[in-house]
Amino acid sequence: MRGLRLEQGSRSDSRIVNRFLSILDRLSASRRVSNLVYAFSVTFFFALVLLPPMFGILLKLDRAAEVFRDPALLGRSYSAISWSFILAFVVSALDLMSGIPLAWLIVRSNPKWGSIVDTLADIPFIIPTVALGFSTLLFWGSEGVASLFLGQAVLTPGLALVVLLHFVFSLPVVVRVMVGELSGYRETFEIAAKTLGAEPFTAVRTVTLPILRPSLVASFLLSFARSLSETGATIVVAGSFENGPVLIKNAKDAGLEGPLSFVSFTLIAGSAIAFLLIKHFGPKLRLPISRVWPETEKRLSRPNAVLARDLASLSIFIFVVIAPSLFVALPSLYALFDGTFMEALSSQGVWSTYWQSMMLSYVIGIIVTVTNMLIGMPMAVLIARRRLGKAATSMMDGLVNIPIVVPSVALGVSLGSFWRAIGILPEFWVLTISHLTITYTYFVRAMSAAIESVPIYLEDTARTLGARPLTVFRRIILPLTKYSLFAGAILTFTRSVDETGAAAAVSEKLKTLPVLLVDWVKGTVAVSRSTQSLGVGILVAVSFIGLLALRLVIRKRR
Amino acid sequence: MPSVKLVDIVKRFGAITAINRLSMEIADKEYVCILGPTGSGKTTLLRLFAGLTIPDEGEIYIDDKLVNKMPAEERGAVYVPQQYALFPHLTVLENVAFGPLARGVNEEEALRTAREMLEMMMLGHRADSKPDELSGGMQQRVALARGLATKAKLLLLDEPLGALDARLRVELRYKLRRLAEESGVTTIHVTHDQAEATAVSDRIAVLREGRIRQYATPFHVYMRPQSLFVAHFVGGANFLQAVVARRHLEESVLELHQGLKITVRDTTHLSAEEVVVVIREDRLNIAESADKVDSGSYNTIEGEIQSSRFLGSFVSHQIRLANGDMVMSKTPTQRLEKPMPVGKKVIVYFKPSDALVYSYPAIGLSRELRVL
Repeated sequence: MRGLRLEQGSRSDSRIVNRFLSILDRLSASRRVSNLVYAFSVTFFFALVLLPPMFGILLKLDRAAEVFRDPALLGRSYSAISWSFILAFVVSALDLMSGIPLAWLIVRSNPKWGSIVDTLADIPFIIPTVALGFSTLLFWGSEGVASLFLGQAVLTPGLALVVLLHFVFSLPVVVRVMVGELSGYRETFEIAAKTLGAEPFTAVRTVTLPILRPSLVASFLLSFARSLSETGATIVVAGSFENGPVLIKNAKDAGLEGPLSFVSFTLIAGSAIAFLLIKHFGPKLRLPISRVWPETEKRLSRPNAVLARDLASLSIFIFVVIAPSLFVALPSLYALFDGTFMEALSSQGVWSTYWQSMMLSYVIGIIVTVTNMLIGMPMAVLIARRRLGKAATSMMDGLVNIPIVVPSVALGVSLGSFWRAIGILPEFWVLTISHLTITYTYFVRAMSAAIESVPIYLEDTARTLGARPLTVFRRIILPLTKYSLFAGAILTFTRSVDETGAAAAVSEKLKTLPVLLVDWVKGTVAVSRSTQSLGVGILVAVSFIGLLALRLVIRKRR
Repeated sequence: MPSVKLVDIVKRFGAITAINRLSMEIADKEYVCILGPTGSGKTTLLRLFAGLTIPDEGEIYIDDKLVNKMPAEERGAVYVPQQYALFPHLTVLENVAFGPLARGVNEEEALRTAREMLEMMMLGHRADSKPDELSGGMQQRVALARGLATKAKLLLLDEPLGALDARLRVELRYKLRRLAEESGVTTIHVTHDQAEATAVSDRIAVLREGRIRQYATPFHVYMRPQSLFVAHFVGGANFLQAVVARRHLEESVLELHQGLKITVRDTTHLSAEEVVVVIREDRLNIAESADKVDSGSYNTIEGEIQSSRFLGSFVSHQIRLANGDMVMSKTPTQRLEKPMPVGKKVIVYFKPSDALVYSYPAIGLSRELRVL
């Protein structure tokens, strides 16, 4: 009778817990109490997540105006902002072109091979982006595999490397969304089209893709937001190239408040507008389905054409995405044997700061995860069960997305501005609250989707059987969504630990691990290549443990 | 066990009025079926009884106690949705024990009750199974056992047999009725299947557009429908337009299309009034010739077979009457040697008392009969 016994425990401590739960259970039946919990959750969202960055950026508006007095700075700022949006657009388009065939391969090919590719696709997603940037830099650089044959670096830091890097870390987002959608897609539509005489390629183009259009738009949006927001890794591979986040970081390092504020404000406003435009017009975009080219599409449907497409998408995936992502493992392994590892273990030199930063990252990660779980849960219920009515719920649903749509470094600038203006919080807490703001959406989104998938009639029936709201939540909702709860918590934690942009913008003395690693790789703190590699390698190793936990949780759920 | 009363209930969802000034009473231990087409407000009505939906106007009484604001968990009205809502993460036994435990019964007693209920449903051997390991029929019995284990006063069944195959549905409807009787629970059973409703209920409430159109025993609803809609929705019937030609003391003569005259046992309509004659399909007989018509006082009309369908215990014929009207007739198989061939001339006959007469509806006949 697991899950049902709580109130019948015989030991005294469990009696106290049961009594406490029983009191809470009775309280939960009161509409006033449940309204209070929801009101607290909404207040928290506005007070700590949504409003501080808005006020923060308004406080900086007068500094932003300074840019207009310096044409050179203004030009540089405009150029960086434009590049941010161009880059996000181009990369998202490339992601869709490569991600859809790959997702197709994962879902429709041999399940065993599909599962392997599916697991590999998560790798760039789980590796902290700063590590991904370093690894990509090494792979394409003078120490990389390709240089062994060419005798020189294939790519040096700059725009091309930035495009490749953004492609690497945003492709998994598209693959993940499209694999989920294609798995749940009813193939009968496609079969019906084929029995009506359509070639397989035509059936997919004119039936499947139009039906999956909402997912295509969602993939594009997520990939767009991820590219727009990324900071740490971009700094590592940017060289002299500047997009918005890189300019913000450079301006902060140079003490240039004007461009820092101007670019942050424009990126926040611009990304919110772009997000709204894509969300509004994306679903209305008409795919070219009225024309059919029977001969061409017949050729494209032939087994050798399908094989060529699969090989091409697999090759891009392995050589452009996976190999550069994992390349850092080689110098990291080398560092294990050249004495660097012993230095690290004995906490000598820069390693003392490294371990402190790691501790700081994980402590913040734990605080942020626990807080988001406690505060985000009522918000997830509010959204999933539309407790505020259709219109207000829909509005909250949109507002909750803002922290992931807005570039995190810009968010960090405005958060830093706000909390420093308040002036009462020590830097540690400013840093923690910034991470909380950045990661809030991940937990709420994961949980609201999970709760939404639990049929409402289960709750209704449990209530008519005599269960009060808290009992329904504890005994029905929670057990049925526990895997999403774990997955949401792991996602929140890893996202917090990986966060670079906001942390770099907010921090003054304290440095989280990704911020420290950016300093190492960029040479702000002089360390050897071996130390850089091991530092990044340790972070990657810990992240892989996270990936493993996530996969285990998901596998158990399946 | 309770009596239940609804007084002038109104429930709106935005611009749509799902329940419109509805009043009804259900006696203690009564088994009532709410019958109506899709979108008639059946499920909303059930949720109002359960406390899962709050009425905008009107009062709900259980045992003469006003329960409008009483939360669902305190009403003692167990809701069993069409999908049964068995909790997928709990075993069958845990599912059945859920209600008693949630109501504060100690674990030992809750499990004992749950086991008893499962034995009663002949499912004791599946106590440790998970719901998805059971067949549809078993799941339905577990859902009922779970409801009854709470010692509920009121059982609310939303299309409880809807997800089962046809044969099991017929088999289980009688079990359902017997169980409700044995447990002494007041039952409200929502369905859109009129055969199911007539088979199990003490009374049927026919619902349309949030209003009750007739609330009576199955016999009365079938034999004396209060409106054309009820006649159409409950059991198959023929609808013929006519005008009252003459009224006598106990009978009237009606004129169908092309001057065809029939006699009906009805005097409630005025001469020259436009009416609709309703004749149940199973009350419309056919004979190969006039000399084979049963003895007695019948209306007889010549007709021609347009199609025939063998339905097991019945044979259904579609016949074009001499005036061009089309009718359906259901004849017990034992009365026919074989289905009549298409094109055969026949005599259609029926008793004047089997023809029900209604005023021609102001909204038109097809709109009045519309189910969706």
